[in-house]
Order: sequence, then C-alpha cells, then structure tokens
Amino acid sequence: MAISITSVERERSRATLLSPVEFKLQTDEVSLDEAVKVSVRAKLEGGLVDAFRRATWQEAYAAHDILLRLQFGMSIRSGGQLFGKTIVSAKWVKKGILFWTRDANLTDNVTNMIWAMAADENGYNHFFEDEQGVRDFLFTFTRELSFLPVSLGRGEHRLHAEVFVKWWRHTYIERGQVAARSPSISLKVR
Amino acid sequence: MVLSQEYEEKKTVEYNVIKKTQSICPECNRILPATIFERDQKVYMTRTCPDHGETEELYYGDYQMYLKFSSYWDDGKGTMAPNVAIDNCQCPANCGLCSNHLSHTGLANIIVTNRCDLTCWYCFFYVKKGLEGAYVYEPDHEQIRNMAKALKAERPVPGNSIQITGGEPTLRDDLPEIVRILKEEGVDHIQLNTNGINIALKPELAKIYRDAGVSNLYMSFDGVTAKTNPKNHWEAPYAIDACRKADLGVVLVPTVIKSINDHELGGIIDYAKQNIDIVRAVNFQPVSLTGRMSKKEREKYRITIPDAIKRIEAQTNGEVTADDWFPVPSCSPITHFIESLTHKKQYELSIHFACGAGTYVYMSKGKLVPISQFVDIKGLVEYLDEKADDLNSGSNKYMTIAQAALRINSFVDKKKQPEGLNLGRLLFNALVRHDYSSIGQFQMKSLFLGMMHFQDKYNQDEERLQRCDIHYLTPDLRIIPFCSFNVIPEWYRDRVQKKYGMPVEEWEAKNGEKLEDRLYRGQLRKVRPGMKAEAPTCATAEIYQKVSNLG
Ligand code: SF4
Ligand code: SF4
Repeated sequence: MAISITSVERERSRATLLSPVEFKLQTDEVSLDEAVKVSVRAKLEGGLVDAFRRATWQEAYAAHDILLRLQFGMSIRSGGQLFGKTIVSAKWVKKGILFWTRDANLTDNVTNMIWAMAADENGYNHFFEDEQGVRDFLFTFTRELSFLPVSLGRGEHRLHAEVFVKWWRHTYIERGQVAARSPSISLKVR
Repeated sequence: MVLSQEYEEKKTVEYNVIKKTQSICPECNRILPATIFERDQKVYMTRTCPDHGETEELYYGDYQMYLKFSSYWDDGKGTMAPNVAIDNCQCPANCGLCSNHLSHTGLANIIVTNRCDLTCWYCFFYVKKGLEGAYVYEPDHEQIRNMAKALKAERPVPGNSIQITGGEPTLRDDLPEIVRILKEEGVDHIQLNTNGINIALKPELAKIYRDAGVSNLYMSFDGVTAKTNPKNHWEAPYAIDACRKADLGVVLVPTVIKSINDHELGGIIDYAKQNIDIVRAVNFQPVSLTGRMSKKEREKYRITIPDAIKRIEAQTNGEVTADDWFPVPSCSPITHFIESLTHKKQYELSIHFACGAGTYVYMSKGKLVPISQFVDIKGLVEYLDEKADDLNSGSNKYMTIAQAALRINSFVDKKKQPEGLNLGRLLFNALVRHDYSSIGQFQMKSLFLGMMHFQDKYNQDEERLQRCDIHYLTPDLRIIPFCSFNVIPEWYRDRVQKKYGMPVEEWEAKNGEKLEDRLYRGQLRKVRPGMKAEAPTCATAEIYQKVSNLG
C-alpha cells in the first residue's frame, strides 16, 4: 500500500533549531554600583519556521487551530554550566494568530483568506503585508537587560546567555522546545 | 476597487495605518476596501467610493484602548449548517448565515411584532401608519417555532438564547404562549426586549412572563432624568418594581448619544446599584447613526466604546476605571480551556474586539468593586491558554486539573476580594468541575456592565460583521447578523417584513382594532394640576427618590 505524505507531514518531521546566540555586553568593565547592560539575539530556524507559512495557515484555520504560542526564556549566567549561577532571567510569550483577513491586497476572498498577525509580549498585535514579516517578528528576538553586578562581586567574571523557545502541538508542527547557549565573555567588576 | 498607490502613500505619511478591511459606501452600499488608521491617538476608518467620494469616520475613540482590546483577537468556530452556501465572501450581501460567517449565534432576535405603543421620532423599528409601504409584521406560532428550530439546528453549537423583540413585544397578547413555544423547542435563555410600559401599567404581567419562561427583561433606560429618558422615565421604576415582586431579572439598556445623555452614564450605574437586588446588568449601547447625516452632525452625536468607558470612569468617581473593561472575546481562553478538557465544542463569544466590552462589578460596603481589581484577568486567561495548549498537546488531563486547582487561586488577590466571596473556588468549580451553582450567589451581589456598539453605514466594518454573534431569525429560516439586518434594512429588515407582513389596513380589518388604539397615553407620567394619575407619580415615588441625578 502506498503511503502518501502530505506537505504538512513533511514539515512536521523537519527539526527546529536555534541560530547561534549572539550575546553582547555594552562595556566589558563596570564598577560595583554601575548597571551592566547586555543584549541577546537569537533566531529560530528550520521546522517550525518553515511550517508556519501561508500554505499551512488555511488548513490549520479550518481545524480551528488558530493560535501559535511561543514561550521564550533567557537567562544570563556566570561561571560554568554545572556550578554557575543565574544573574538575571526573563520569560515572555509571543503569539502568531491566524485570522480571516479582509485586506483586498492579501486575499482573493475565495481561497486564500487566512493571514497571520503577530502579537508581541504585551499582547499587542502587529500586522504585516508579507509572510516573511510575520515570521521575522515571531521567530527572531533581540532582548536587552540590565542588572547590578553586586551578586557577582568584584573581580573578573565569565558570563554567558542561555536561551530557550517552547511551543505546543499544532496541525503543522509537533510540540517542541529548543535551547542554546552563547559563547562566554568576560566582565570585569571594579 | 483598490485604493490608489498615491492615496495609500499619502495616508501612510500623514497617519499611522493600522490595517486594511472592507466597508460599504453609506450612499450606495457598494462594498469598498477600507483603511483603519490612527491619528492623534484616535482610530478612524476611511474608504472612497468612485461615485460618492471619501467617507472618513471615527472608529474607536482611544488608540491605546484599541491596542489593548485588539490583543484579545479570536476567530470563532462559526457554524457548519449555513443557509447560504457560497465561496465568494461578499459581506454584507449574502447573509443568511453564509458559509463564511465566523461566529455561531450567541443571541438570536425574533421580532414578534413591529407595532409599538410609543412613537419615538428617531426609531426605525416600528410600523408607521400612513407611510407608503407600512406593513405590520407578526409571525405566527408555527413560524416562530420553526425559527427556534433553525436556531437549535446550528452546529457544532446549537443556539440556546433568544431575545424576543419588536416593536414592543408586550403588545402581543399571546406573548406567554410564544415564550412557551420557545421553551418547548429547548431554548434555555429567553430575554424580553421592552420599554417596560405595559409591565408598569399591569404589574401582574411580570409574573405571567416569568412563569411562561422569560429569563430576564432587557429594558430601555436612556438616562435618569425625564429630559434624557423621555421614553420611560416615569414608567421604568414601576416596571422594575413589578419585576422585583415576580423575581424577574432586569437588564437596563441605555442608548448613549454624545451631547444628549453621555453625562448620565454614572447616574444610570448608580440607579442600577440602588436596584442591585433585581437589576442584573447595564448594557450601554453607543448610538448607531441611522439615516443620512452630515459629518458635522455625526461628530456631534458619535460616541464610541472607549469614550463611553472614560465617561463612566469620570462619572463614577473612579469606582469603575477604564482599565477594568475587557473586550468580549477576552472570554475565549476560558472556552478553549473547557473544550480541551471536555473534547466538546462549547458556546463561545467570538465577536470582534471592537464590537463590545464588559466588566463585572461586585457590590461591597456600598461601593462597586470591579472584578479586575481583585483578579489578574490577563494573567488568568494567559494561564488558561497555556493549559489548553498543554491538553491539546497530550498532557495528562488529571495532572493538568491538579495544577489548575493549585494555580487558579493565585490569580485572585484575597486581601482585595470583597468579604464573603471566594472567587478562586468559584472559578475552579466553574472551569474544571463545570459546577455553576455558586455563580448565582456571585450574581446576586454583582452587576455586569456591558457595552455594544452596533454599527451603522458610516462605520461599518465587514471584519466586525463577519464575526457578529447577535443575529435575527426570520420566517424564511435565515439567520441574519444584527448589523446587516438593521444597517442595510433595504436588503434585509424591510424586505422580510414586507414579505411576511400585511398592509396596516388589512391588519386593522383582520383584528378589529386600529394601530393607534394601543398607543401609550402617558397615564403614569407626572401629574399635572387638575389631572388624576392611575398610580402615584414616579417623581414622588420612593423608588425614584434614591436616584441622585433626578431631574
Ligand atoms: S456577514 Fe456573515 S453571513 Fe453575512 S455575508 Fe458576511 S460572512 Fe456571510
Ligand atoms: S450586532 Fe453589530 S456590534 Fe454587535 S457583534 Fe454583531 S456586528 Fe458587532
């Protein structure tokens, strides 16, 4: 018996990856009472990103599978993987929301009515006129944080960022989670 | 027609374009592409008809509230039994419902008569004798039964809530029989839309309606002074008192018009508060501007949901703040969670976020305490979304219930929660055990404050219409969204009433009475010198003395 694999099933089988995590310190030397500003940037690639596109939106919408929730987490840690400690962390959610658009530029009103908007971590919706715009907004993040280095204490420290992204099961993707770690960089606290 | 490139660029430079939708030309009903944009922190809609030019209209009076409310976007499941099977979505031209409609019926209206006992000059809903083409529309019992059957046939969620409306429905002497028919067809919730005058005149009607199966009255109440509420200022207190005696809940329904009664929204809430033992809700309706109106006139009267919400904050001295309101689809995560738990499709409120908003206020020590002041609503709905995702992804149901039992309480601030209320338990019982028995107790001391901005030809947005869940049932067994039925009456309301009605003269001959015989003669209005009233005047009645703003 021939087994037919739909395009959706093919998408589901491809792995989702995190791009190398970019981790930057605004300055590599601070005093104990001075805030350390860091930025972390990462991007999802592969499976989920490829699956969340117009060709699958229509099918998902028909199954009333309209909300893609992505949970992001990030922590800045000092020391090694085993004995290190978390200095600061953050968690947030972004959403891809499928909806029936009435934008005449995006739909022919007959077959391709479903479009996606993206909600930021405050829940505010953003509309895009191209698919790539929706995906870039959803699957890429740059996060800036600041902290006081008191918990680190004076001296030379090695810091790194750990990032994870989690999602749940949908018609176009299985439940999953990816995590990655940035290379370490030095911070001197005076 | 697509807006010209030049036009698009001009708008983008001058204004912050939010998104594109579709609307109609208020002159010729042509379906047009429309742009929603922000200017000076307000949201507008514009479109250009090749024949009648541009129409720009205020869409939402506060951009920040628009942003907050739009975050609760949730397209519904729709209904799988469309009457109009059509691929090409052409809202609002094919309502019936058509296969593209996105919400099942939340509340179905049945017009039982278009006769009325009042003759308000601004009303388009009642038959005006002497006008060419005036038809009396009164569906018979069989038609009404069939309409109820059509509602119950909706899938996956059968309709379960009907509003009997008019005209003035209490003019039909067979109203109790109509209610019984709807009950026989399995309709649980029956709301009676009325001006309350007949009930004020004949208080025994309240019990008769209640015994027949009416769940609550939906009573027009436009203000707390005779000037702002000429319709039933004198009669409403008597109708409320009759309902109190019959234990028939009342929803007050003010139509809010800028420059006319928008200064009395706080007074109306205050009046509801005084009658909280029987008034269950106040449902404000920012005016829908019917008929041809100049831009200047529209600006004079137009009020939108955020404007009304801000006035309520000011007029209740901050008891009910703007932050306490949530758009109707904010309830969706609750539905999704219960669906994931039960694997059964549930009744959902999936209207567009710009259509309606609401909040629950709880009465504590003489003050109204909005639910959002002791419940983290945003946190709770996000948590329920996550748990629904867990369940849909194969997480263990019993483990999820156990987690929810521990967690739901953490969204309730027990220090701020009104005395005697255990909302955490109530929520858990309702969400997880589907035990709604204690909700009745909550409702006894609470008021629902709601708002729905019915559309008109100037602000009509097809994106909203396609998600409408307030519908009309018609004798041809169509189910027509409210804002098609009434916004384009020439396509819907008038046609239906002409087809299934009869000329006024024929109705009068058949029934042996004149249309004007049942007009209200003002028996309960203020006693003028030398006149005898049938009942004490409202102005002197104790019931009205409590209203702070009495004019
Ligand atoms: S409003 Fe609903 S029923 Fe009417 S044409 Fe649009 S989708 Fe169809
Ligand atoms: S009746 Fe009008 S305002 Fe209400 S949900 Fe329907 S479209 Fe929206």
